[in-house]
Amino acid sequence: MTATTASPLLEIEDLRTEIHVDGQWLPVVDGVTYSVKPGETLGLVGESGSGKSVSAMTLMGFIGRRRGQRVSGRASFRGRDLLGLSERELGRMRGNDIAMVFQEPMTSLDPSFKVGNQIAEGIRLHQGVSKDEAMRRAVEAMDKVRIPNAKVRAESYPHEFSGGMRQRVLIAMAIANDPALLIADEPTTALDVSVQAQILALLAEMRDELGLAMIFITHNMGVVADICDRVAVMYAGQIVESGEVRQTFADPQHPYTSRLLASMPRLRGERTSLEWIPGTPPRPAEFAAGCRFAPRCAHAQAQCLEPTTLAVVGDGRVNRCTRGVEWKKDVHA
Amino acid sequence: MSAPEQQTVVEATDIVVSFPVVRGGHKTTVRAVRGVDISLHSGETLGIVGESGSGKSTLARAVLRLIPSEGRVVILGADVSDLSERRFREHRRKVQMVFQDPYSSLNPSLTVGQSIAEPLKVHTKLGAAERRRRVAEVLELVGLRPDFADRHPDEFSGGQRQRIAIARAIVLEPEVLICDEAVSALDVSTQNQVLNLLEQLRDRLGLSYLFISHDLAVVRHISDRVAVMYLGEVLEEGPVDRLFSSPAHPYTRVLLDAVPEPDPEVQRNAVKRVLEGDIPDPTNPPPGCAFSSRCPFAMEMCSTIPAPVTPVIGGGTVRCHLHTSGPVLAGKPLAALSSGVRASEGGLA
Repeated sequence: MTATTASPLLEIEDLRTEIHVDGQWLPVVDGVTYSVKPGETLGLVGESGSGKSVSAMTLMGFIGRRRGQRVSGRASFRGRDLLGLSERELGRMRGNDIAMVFQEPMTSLDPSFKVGNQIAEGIRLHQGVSKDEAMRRAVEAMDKVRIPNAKVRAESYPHEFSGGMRQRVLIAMAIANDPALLIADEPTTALDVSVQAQILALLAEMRDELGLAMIFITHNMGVVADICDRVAVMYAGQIVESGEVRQTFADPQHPYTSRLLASMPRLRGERTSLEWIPGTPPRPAEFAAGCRFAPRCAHAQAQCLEPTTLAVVGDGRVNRCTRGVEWKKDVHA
Repeated sequence: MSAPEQQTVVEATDIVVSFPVVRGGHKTTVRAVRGVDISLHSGETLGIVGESGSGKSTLARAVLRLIPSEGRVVILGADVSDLSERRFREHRRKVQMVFQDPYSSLNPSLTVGQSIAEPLKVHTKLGAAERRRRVAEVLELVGLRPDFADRHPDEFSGGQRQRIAIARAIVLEPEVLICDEAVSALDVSTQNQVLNLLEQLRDRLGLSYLFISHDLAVVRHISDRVAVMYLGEVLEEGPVDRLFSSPAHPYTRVLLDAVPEPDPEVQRNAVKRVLEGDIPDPTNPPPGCAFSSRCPFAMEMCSTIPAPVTPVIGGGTVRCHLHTSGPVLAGKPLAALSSGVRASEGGLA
């Protein structure tokens, strides 16, 4: 699954996205570092407001380029500096080398155009083929994502599709230009569980068939366990831990990851009382100077008031906990 | 967990809800709920799960008479089906509802205290000072500071707003709370805090819950019994542990299989049976079993003859032709061998 030897397709280093609110710059994304290799799926996981979506939107140039927003750090895709691209260059890259699928398929599609035309438009923009050829390729893409009767369905409008089928249309649109990287932002969150299973299976299949790399943004640890090779856990704008999925789930390095996993209601095993992390995640204006999780962490000590760094702990894993894995020896909680 | 004394607080029988719709230029009806029976016992949590279009929220609204329906509803022993709106009011206060979205269920222009006190104004003769005292009391019950009463909803987080909505729902001391996707919009940690609060309130105030959710893991945690709905029907119901460990209906099975577990080992070794297609058009449901058009085990009879309600070993009932001869032991219907298993074990029969 993971191409461990290949050089990264995408490399993000110390990415910081700030938004100017009420006279101060708020670090919504703060020092995020990760990389994605060809064919690899990285899960970006975290609660609402953790910065997981904003970090991806920054890469794509949707956030950070307007007044009241600023970006620093490095982001390179196949060696090209993403943050330095002009709007024009960005437009050429989006939907072509890097494609995206969002949560709400209805708002990502234009309700007044037939879906076949919407897919074909993206193909014409990036591949410079004739209208007929673009339509032929659009139908081919719809076929590939298992939309039954693709040729006929290409003539339908978005509202004539179910939620699951609309998400398939978006995936068809995303893969139509043969991208190397797909950024999927909560692509199954609005879907019913049986439809979610269909879409996850489809994405895994597309990834294997087309050799796609994926960044899968989700709050759902089950989805990460299902589809991701590696996972980066975000809290309050920072990555607190990242690593291979099995290792991270089996032996989390950061107390936040550990508590988050323990909080997941399970379908199997004994029914135990639910766990949770006291309090709520801080807003950017309230970020602690030291470890941002410390105010909610049962293992926090005086040293946790100092600024944190991401430490490489081997096996391609990183951990932001100031105490490393020492906290696991604590007797309480 | 389970209620010791089996007093029934809500009993709904043969509930049918129809809506007029226009399809392809023609007027027709959607039967969003098609002959559902549910009963809720005192102190119990009945979970209702189902995907979009299953009719689970519509059922709840029918029980509360928020929408017109057919069938019989008995609340605390009183048949309220044919009562006038005015006479129904005294029963309605016994059953309160908590919705998914605390942003839209709280009036943004009112203070939290005013919102919570509103039902007291409508249903009681309490004076202003007594109302304030009661508001402070319920705020404390839901884990919020009494002085929050003077603030507005937009000053609170999603979890706090849901606590406020719960405070408002319990202010009249109801017997039953209907929670419709009450924790679905919350992050997992906040969700669990609110679920824990609901459990505490159930024990402290002797509440019973009708807990409607699409989230099977959450339903498993909070419920004593669970009903699974599909296309306006209950396909299976039973005690929570039995239903999750040995689901009787193929739909329950695929639904459970579809939930990704937060465990990579389980997820990667699981045999994934993906349910193909979408829920059928509710204006034109399959004539036999509602699930027959998508069921991997469907037999010929399934698409023509509705499956009867059949008891399941371990409790509860299922509507599936695979079970129509009842539980089978060594090829013989168990019902013929022993009279021990009866539909009365579940509350649905």
